[in-house]
Amino acid sequence: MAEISPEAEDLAALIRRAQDGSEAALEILIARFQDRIAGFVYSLIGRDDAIEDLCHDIFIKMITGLSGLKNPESFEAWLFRIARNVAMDSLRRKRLWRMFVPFEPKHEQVAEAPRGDSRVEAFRTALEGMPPNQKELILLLAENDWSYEQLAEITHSSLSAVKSRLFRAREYLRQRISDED
Amino acid sequence: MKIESLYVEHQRRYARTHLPPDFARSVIEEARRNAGVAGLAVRLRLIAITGALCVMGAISMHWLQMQHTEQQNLQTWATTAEQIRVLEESI
Repeated sequence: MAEISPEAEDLAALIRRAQDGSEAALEILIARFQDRIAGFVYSLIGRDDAIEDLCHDIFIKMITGLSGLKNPESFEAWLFRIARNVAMDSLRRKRLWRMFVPFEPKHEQVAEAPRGDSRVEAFRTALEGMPPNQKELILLLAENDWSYEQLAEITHSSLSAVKSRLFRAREYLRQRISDED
Repeated sequence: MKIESLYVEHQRRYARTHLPPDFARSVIEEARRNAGVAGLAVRLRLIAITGALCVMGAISMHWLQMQHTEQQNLQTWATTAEQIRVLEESI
């Protein structure tokens, strides 16, 4: 087990130690981000049965690619890009699988997430009706105050595409949430 | 608190319950196992490449040697033919 508390160490120093091969630093790094990544993945895919597997994949990719990360300051955006890619791949595979396998109720045994307060539920309902490429931007912005440039990099989109998608997403949310009220 | 933040916090709390307590450790162990398998795969690939290079080298050497022998035989045959021609003319 790592000897330094996860909150105590500066992120950049932690990343550099992890890049130098410290397993303790890696463990702290994963522990520090695992809840955020799990929440983000769950919000994107809307299923709880794949959270652990997808988080595993994400952090394995993080460990594999960490040595190539030049700038520790961009770590968070880089990690969320990995998470976004893994979650989107999973959604695509799921869609493809549904095309070839006839649907049966046992295929879709998704536990219902606990209900939040009414505002959270209104927000969730609005998000569920949103295209994934708009939803991911709203979720990313809820995680961190990313710039448009960072959002474009994370989602592999152009700056103008991010701006217009975000505009549409916000309009949609505003409309849906005011309808619910 | 903004509604997005409330939602994210809610989702995070729920998703957290789907990760085992030793999640970070298990990821690191799997990464280590993967690295071991990847290292073995790299070694096997190197062995295969070396083997292929050796076979190609042996084939090339054999081909060159065959060419050389054939050239020598042709040379000998030409000399013999010339000698026969000279002998026939002298008779």
